[in-house]
Amino acid sequence: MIEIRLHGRGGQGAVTSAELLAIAAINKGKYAQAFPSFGPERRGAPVTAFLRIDDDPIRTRAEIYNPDVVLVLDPSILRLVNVAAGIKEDGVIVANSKYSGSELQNELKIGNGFASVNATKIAMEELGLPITNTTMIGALLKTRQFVTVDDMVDPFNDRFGRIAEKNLKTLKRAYEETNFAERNDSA
Amino acid sequence: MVDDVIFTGNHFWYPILFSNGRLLRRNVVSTVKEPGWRDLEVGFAISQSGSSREYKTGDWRSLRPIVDKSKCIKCGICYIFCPDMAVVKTEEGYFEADLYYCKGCGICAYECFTGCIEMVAEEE
Amino acid sequence: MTKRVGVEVSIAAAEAVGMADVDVVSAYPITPQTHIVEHLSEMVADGHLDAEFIPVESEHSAMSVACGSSATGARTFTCTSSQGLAVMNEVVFLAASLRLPIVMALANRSLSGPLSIWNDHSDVMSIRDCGAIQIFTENGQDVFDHMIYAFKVAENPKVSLPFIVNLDGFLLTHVIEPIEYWDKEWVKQFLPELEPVNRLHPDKAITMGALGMPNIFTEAKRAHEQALLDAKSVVLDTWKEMGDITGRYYHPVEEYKTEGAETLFLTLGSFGEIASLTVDELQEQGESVGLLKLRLWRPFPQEELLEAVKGAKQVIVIDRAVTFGGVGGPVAAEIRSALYHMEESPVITNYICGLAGRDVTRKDFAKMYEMSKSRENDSVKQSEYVFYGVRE
Repeated sequence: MIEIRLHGRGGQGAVTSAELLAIAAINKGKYAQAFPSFGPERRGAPVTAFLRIDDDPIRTRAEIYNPDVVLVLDPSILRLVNVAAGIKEDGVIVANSKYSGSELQNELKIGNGFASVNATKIAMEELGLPITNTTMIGALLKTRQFVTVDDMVDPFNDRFGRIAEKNLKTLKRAYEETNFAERNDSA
Repeated sequence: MVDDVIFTGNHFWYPILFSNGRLLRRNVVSTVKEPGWRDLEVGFAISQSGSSREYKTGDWRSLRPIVDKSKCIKCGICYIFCPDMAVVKTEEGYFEADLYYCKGCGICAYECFTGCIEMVAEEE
Repeated sequence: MTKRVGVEVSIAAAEAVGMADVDVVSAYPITPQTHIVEHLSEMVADGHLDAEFIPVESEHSAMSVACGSSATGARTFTCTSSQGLAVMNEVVFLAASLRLPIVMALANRSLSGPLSIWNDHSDVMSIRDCGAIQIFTENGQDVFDHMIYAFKVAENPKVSLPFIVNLDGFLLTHVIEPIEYWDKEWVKQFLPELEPVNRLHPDKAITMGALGMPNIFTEAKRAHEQALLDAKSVVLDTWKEMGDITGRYYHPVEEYKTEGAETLFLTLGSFGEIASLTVDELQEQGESVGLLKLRLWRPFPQEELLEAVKGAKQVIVIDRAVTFGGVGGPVAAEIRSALYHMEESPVITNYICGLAGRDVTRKDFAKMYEMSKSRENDSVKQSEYVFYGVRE
C-alpha cells in the first residue's frame, strides 16, 4: 500500500487532487481511498488530505501518520507545518516551490528525497489561476508512478469538462519541470 | 345514525378510543370485550370513516338549550354557529340541538336574534 | 459483477436512492450529511431523477413532510445528522408508530456540546427506542447496497416501518473509494413498486395519528413492538435475496475470524474494518482473538449474538457514545443484558472511544486488547467501562 498525505490551503484543491488520483487508480482496477482531514471547510486555512492506493481492498480509515509521499500544494505551507511529520525513511516530499529539492532539504533540514516544481508559476501561466492541484499531480507522478499521466485523462475529462485539456497541459508541463533530490542524510 | 353496534371485525371499535375508555353508543351500554393488540390496524390507523359520529359528547353537558318555538323565526343562526354541528332542522322547519352531541356551550343562545333559546340546567 | 467506480460515498448513496426511483426527498442540509442531500437536489434539478425535492426550513419539517408524503403512498427518503436528528426527534417516533416506510440515512455525528461536527454514535443512540429498523454500515459498498435494500424491507407489507441506515459521518460520507454500482436491471428485479399498507386517498377515508387513550395505548405499543420483531425475518430473507443478485451477503452479526477465539471485539459501523486489521495482526502473533460486527441494531439480533459469542471468554465492546451516569456505553449495556442468561456468559469489557471523530487506529485496538487480556489495568478492573485514551 502506498500512503500519501497532501498539504494545501482550503480552496486550493488538495482534496480534488487526492480524489482524481484515487479515481485514476480505481479505474485501473486498483483499490484506493481519498479523504480530507475531516472538519469545517475554511478557505485559506492549512488543510490536509489523504490518499491510499493498494492492490487489495483497503480496510483502515484512520488518518495517515506514516506517509510514503507528502505532497505540498502551497509553498508557504512548508514553513508553517511540519510536512515531514512521521514520513517513512524512504518517503519523499513533493513540493510546490521556486527552490530546488536540494535547496529545500537544506533549508528545512529534511533528509528525505525531495522533489519540487514551481507549480504556482506554471498554473498562473497555463490556467491564469494560482490553483496548483492538477499541476502538483504532474510533479507527484514524476516522483512515484503508481498511475501514469495517461490514466489521468478520463478523471480530468469527467471533472473539468472543457477545461480538462488546459489542466492536462499544466500537469504535463509540471511533470517535465519537476526536479528531484535523492535522500540526503547530511541535510 | 346507527342505533346499535355490531362488532363484525377489526374496524368498528376504534370509536371506543374516543369515549373515555367506555363503550358508549347510542342506546347501548355494552360490555363487549375491548380489543387486544392483535386486533389493531397497522400503525393504529382507523380505516372506518365517519367513526366520530359514534362519539357521544352529549354527556359533557350541564346546561341544555330549550327553544321557545313561539319566538323562533327559523332563521338558522343557531345551526350556523353551533361548533359541533349538533343543531338539526326539524320537519316543521325549526332548529333543535341533537342532545347526543350538544355539549351545552350556549353559543346558540348567545347568537339567537330573537332570544328564543334558553339554557336550562340539566337537572331542571 | 459490475464495474467498480471511484466515488465519494455520499454521492454513491444519493445515486442509490435515485436508482431506487424515490418519489419524494425532503431534507435539510447538515454536516456531514450535506453531500447526500446536495447531490439528490442536483439529480432532480438536472432532470436525472423524476422526484420532488422539498427543501424545508428545519429537520422537524423534513421528517414531517416525509411523513405526509409517505402517508400518501410516495416512496420517501430523508437524511440527517446529529443536531438535525435532535430537532427531528419527535417526528421520528411518530413516523415509526404510524408505520410509514420512510428510508432515512443517518450520517452519524456527535451531539453537541461541546459543539462538534465529527463522527460518533451519540445521535443514533438518542433514537434507539423510536421503533424503526436500524442498521450500521461498514464501508461505501455497504452503504450503497443498503440504500436500495432499505426501501425493499421498509415497504414490505409485513414490515411497513421506517428504516434508518447509519453511516459514519466523514469516515464514510467524505471518503472517495471504489464502489460497485448496481445494474439497473438488478434494481428492477429486486425492488418492486411501493404498495403501501395504509394510504391517504380521497377515494377511501382513513385516519392516521388518532388519540390513544390509556385503555388502548399499551396495545398500540405492543403491536408496534411485534411489527419490529417480525421485521427481522424479512430483514434476513431480503439480505439473502440481495446477495443472490449482488454476490454480497450480509448478516445481522458479521463474524470475522471468530473460530475458537477466546476474546471477541464487538464494533458498530466503520470501526469494523479497522478492528479487523488488528485481529489479523494479533492472530499472526498467536493471540486467540476475533471480531463481531453488529450490523442489525434494531430489531436486536439476540439469537445470532448468542450463537456468535458461544465459547468466548471475553467480549470487548467498543462504544462510541456515552450513557451518562449509566452502566457503560449504550451498546455494552445492551450486550450485557442480552448475554445475561447464557450458561457461561463471557466477561464484557467496555471501551468508550472514537468520540467526535477522534482517530482510533489498529494500534489502539491492539492496546485495548492488551488492557482487556490481563484485566490488570486498574481502570478496567475498577469500573464497568473505560474512556479509552482520555487524558488525565
